[in-house]
Amino acid sequence: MPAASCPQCGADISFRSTALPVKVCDFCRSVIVRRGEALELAGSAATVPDDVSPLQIGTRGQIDGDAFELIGRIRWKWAGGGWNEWFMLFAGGSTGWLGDAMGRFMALREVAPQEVSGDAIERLIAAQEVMPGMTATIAGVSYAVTDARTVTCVASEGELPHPAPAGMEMFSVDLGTPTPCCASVQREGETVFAYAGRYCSLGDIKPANLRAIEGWTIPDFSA
Amino acid sequence: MTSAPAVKALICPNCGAPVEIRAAGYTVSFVCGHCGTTLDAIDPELKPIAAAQKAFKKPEIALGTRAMLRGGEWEAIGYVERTDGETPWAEYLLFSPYLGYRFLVDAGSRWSLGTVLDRVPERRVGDRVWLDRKSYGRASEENYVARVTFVVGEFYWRVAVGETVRVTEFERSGALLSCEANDAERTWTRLDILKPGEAEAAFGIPPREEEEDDDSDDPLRPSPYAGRLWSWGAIALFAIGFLVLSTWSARPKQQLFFAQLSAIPDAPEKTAVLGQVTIDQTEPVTITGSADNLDNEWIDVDYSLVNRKTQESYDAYATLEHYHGTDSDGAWQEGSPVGIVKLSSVPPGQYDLVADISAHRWAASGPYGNLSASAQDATATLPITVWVDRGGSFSGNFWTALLLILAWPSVLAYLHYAHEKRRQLAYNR
Repeated sequence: MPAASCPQCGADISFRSTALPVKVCDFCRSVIVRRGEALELAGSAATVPDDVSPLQIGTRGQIDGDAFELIGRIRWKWAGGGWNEWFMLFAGGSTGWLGDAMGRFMALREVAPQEVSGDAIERLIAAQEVMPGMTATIAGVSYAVTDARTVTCVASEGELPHPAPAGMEMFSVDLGTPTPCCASVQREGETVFAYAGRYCSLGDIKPANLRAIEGWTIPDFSA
Repeated sequence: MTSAPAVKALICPNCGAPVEIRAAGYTVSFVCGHCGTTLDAIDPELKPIAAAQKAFKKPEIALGTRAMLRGGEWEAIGYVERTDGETPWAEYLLFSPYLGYRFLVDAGSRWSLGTVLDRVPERRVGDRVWLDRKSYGRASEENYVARVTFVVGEFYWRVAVGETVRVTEFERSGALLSCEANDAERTWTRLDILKPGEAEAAFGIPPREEEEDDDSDDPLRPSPYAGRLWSWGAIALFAIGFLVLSTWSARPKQQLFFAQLSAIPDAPEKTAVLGQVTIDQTEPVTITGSADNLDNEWIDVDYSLVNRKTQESYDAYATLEHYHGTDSDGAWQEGSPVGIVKLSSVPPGQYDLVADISAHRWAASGPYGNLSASAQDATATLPITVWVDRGGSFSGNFWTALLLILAWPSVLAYLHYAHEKRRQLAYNR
């Protein structure tokens, strides 16, 4: 585990994975980006506002038999709500996002651009308007757009694949199917990223080290 | 382990009252319980976005009440009243940080627990949809518009009085699927109908008035007969299986004894030892007597199987008869020349088969004026063949047992389907 100290406040920081370039300092909230051996500051991440999410950095679980640990989080908002994207590091070194919105969870993994097509995607790449009902095919599954809007980063913490300073904007498209399969496609600047997976309940991911919330008993999900 | 705070204490910017947000991070709209102003919970300043409602009410279940319901711990955090234009109802939004959201729907005499689905039920044939391998029928021909008339508490969506959705419902015993659609989206919810008193007991409010006939007056409740029908049906199935097995696993029919004898009409009763019968295990025994060429004659046979050791006797009686004649309707005949008697369980042992035999030949002057005179020679004897079989199935017993086994399940099935019929009628009213 590579160890270093925060260039801003000097606190010890550690990276879980050498593949991950970004770490938010737990003490001063500075966004630290690693470039080779050097650590650079990339703004401030802001403190994630209090919420009652049952997840926290360090929560572990399984998706389809693959063990993961949550190592980072980005908090997003838009005019109609806010949600958490938890960054999952799988035992094999791959990563994914666990969406945490409206009391439901979405386990998503990135899909290679060549496996993404459809009118919604073409319009998104061309920076044209994307509307609910438009279609996309992602990793062989057909989806329909359920929502499309600009979202704003509220705060972030932990280790991340890219910096997420407060106020950063991106265009996000949610896609659904008649099954629990769901997907999310985002445009950040000129680049389009696609993530696909499915809805799950907390019990489905066999969680451990959930966050304790005052006055609530953590259900026994192992049963 | 330190615990994160469960509630976020804030001040309503409109009325200055302290308020608590119970689903911080998820809540989008917050309607102040003191002044009724709708606040934007996404905004750190809680900016008011809708003015206070007139005629402010307090929900029967106070917001913040916790309850154990259907295996989960829930907190009531929001309350909505809606109407379809004729009938109002109320919905509580329940929340758990670990289990998410549920809807507790209060329709007066009936409560149900709603879960938003993460998938769309399959539509296969006509007006039926399928979810989790269960089929739901269209609840009514028409869909309806549900309008929000009152809100208080917190919600994970932009709640607003006056908001409408178009509702289409599908039903099966004990559950509904409800599809709510507006221009932007379509949401499917499964509503499990709760047992009478279940929600009230969980949330500590007085139980709703039980309607006098708890079944027929609310056909939307699950059929009270379904459970009993399944258990009695299972018992009946088991019993039928046992019956079939025991009937057909009985040893094949086997002849133990055969004899030919004769009866002399109108002679004094004669007792004859027909022969010896050996029975090696307790089982049914059949004695068959057959007299082929009776002509307006009857033969009475009293059989006794007498155990040689114990002198215990198993008795049976048969009449062999055949009559014919002519009356105003023409020629007639009646009577059976074959008599079969059954001894249901004879213990093993050596038996003598003894028969008391008497016979009568009717002349033309018999009890029926129109009886033809027997054409037999007056001195002719009547040959009888007698044989004894063991085993074989008693089909009569089989059918009787089957009827008895099926009687109670049939009554339950009738009551259950009558209930289902009423439920469908209630929807289509």
